[in-house]
Amino acid sequence: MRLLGWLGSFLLHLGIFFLVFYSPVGGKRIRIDLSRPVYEVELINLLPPAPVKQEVKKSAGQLKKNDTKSAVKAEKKFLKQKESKSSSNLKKIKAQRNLERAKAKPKDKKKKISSKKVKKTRKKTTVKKKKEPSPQEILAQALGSVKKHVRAKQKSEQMILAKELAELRQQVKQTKSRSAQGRSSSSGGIKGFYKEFVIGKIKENWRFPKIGVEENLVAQVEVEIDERGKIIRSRIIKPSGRRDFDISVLKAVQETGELPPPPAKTIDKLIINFNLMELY
Amino acid sequence: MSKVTSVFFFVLTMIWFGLAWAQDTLVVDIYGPGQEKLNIFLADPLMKGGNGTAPAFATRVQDLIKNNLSFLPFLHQTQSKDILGGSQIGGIQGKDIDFKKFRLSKVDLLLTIGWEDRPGILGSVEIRAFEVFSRKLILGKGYLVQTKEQLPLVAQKFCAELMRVLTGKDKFFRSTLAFVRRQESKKEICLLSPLSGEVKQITNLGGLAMSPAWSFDGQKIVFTFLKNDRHFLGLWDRQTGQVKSYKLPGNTCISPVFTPEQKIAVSIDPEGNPDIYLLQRDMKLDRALVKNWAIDISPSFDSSGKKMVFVSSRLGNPHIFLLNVQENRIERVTYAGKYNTSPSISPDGNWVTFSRRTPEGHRIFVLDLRTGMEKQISFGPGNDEDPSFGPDGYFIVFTSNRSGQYKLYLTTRGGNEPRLLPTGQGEATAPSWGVFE
Repeated sequence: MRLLGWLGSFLLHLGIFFLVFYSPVGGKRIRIDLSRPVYEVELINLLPPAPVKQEVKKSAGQLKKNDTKSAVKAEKKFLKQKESKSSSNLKKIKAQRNLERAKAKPKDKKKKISSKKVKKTRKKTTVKKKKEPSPQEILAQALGSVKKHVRAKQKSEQMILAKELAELRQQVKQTKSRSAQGRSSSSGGIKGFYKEFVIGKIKENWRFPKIGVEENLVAQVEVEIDERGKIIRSRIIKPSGRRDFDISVLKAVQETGELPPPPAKTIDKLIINFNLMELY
Repeated sequence: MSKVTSVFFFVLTMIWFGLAWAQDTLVVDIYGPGQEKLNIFLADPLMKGGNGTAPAFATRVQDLIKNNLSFLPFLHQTQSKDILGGSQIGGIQGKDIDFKKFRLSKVDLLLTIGWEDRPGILGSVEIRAFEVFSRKLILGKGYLVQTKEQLPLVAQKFCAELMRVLTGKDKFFRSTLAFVRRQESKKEICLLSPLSGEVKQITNLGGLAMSPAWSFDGQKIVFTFLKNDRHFLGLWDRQTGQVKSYKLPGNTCISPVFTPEQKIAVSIDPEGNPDIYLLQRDMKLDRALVKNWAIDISPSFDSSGKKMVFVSSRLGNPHIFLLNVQENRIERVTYAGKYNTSPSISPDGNWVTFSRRTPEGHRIFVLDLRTGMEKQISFGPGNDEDPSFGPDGYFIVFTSNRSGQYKLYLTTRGGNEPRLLPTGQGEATAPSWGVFE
């Protein structure tokens, strides 16, 4: 039974392996149109992630690097601050209005009421007189309306904040994905730069006079490097057919001695094709 | 149980392969070496066997070799002070030499000289060339030296061998230049050994000797000679040292050359217009190689005799044309410029060097006949004219008045820095390269 289990597991893994590596994607054969030119491009994200971080800081006050949790905390703090500010404002408004009303009431009545209106106002005043609210009631009413107003304002502010926060979250997400994209795409670019650096470094140590050689010579050299870029070993894997040419390329590699650290730790080997003729 | 083990190991193997695949390999293509010069170091001579100091003759050989190698633009001579840990060698043989310090000093080739006194003669000298990287001997030669006059020959022979080992070509060290030297109102033909700078006058005709050209075997020189307003064909024989002159049909005799079959091709005007004719050995007209209403001059043959380049004004301005001798087919090869003259084809028939008038003056160009690509190889100042391909198809000699007076300069097909050749007093023009076979 155990054996069957092992075997089953193995076959299952093998099946997955073959499915992954050998099955054609979508069951369709990839056709290459040879009449069309093929271009190889390396996509490099040139947008630096730093400015986006600054944006987040600016908008959310104390938001830390792309941290949504801290963003929420900041949001709460911000709201609290707003609330405390609005309550203190409310108190001020209350006091101010009370003072204004206490001063303005008798003056207004005397000045503005006309003869016709006097009756009405009298009527009204009589009505009012009947149901004349006490100063406490007026105060409570005013307070209620102010509270209403403040609540509405708070609501709208909260709405705006929530909207802004959502936008910020969206931005944070986008920057994260963008920087991830940048990293993955620029890794090809970094490899390209690394190659260029390797070419420059080894080429300057490659000495070979072209006199007496009419045809192109090519030698392929395998170079093993450690994670710091130090050349550990080099050997000719495809000789050119001319001993002095092969020696010149090996010498170039050995005189170079050390390359910059490879862009990825997985890179531990370089295959270098040394061509005698320049590309024109 | 054994099946389980084998399955286990199989799975392990698969994992190992997977990990191996996970390792990345970068493929890099490098086109063309960064430096086209090899570093060479010539060690001080030692006595063979290591007893005592080498005599002055050995130092003379060292100096001569240094001078000869300085003509090769693809070699850079490393100085003693640039050798880390000192330039002393333990011996003249590979087993005695500490190659490591030369390798660290980026020396590619190391030359050693061993001298031995011999009774009755000056002595014997052993010269070795080692490839420092592989520590292998690439050339070793021994010479018995009878007299001190033979020392330049020893250096010359060794350098020719070294050049052959490095490039497959060795004719430069066996070559001699013919050129025209002006002496007041007269012009005479002279010979120059580019290595030693030794100049020898071979004509004394009292007129204007012009356009010398070597035979392919290096035994004769043909030239134009003007005296009393008449043109003659001059012929110098190396064996006898005598000069003969011939009057050809017509009034002009311009730019004669030898064909590989030892015949002479020359531009003459028997019908009133300069065309290129082939002469028989008795200097009578054989046949016209190029006949046209326009002026056709300055023929130059490759070593096979199948290709001949020349100048023609058939399209108005002087341009370079190529004659396929076997097919008698002519094609134009220069299109740029309005004044292209003095073509010289390389012995392999692949390259043509010529002079073109530019706004800055006349300049030397090289044309690749296979691709039609041109390259300017001289940049003045003044005028650079009359280029001539060396016997290896690598060196080019031309005349230039960049120093105020026309002198000979040595460069290469690749356009290396021109080097002034010592020709003594007077203007030096119209160089032609020959090799003694």
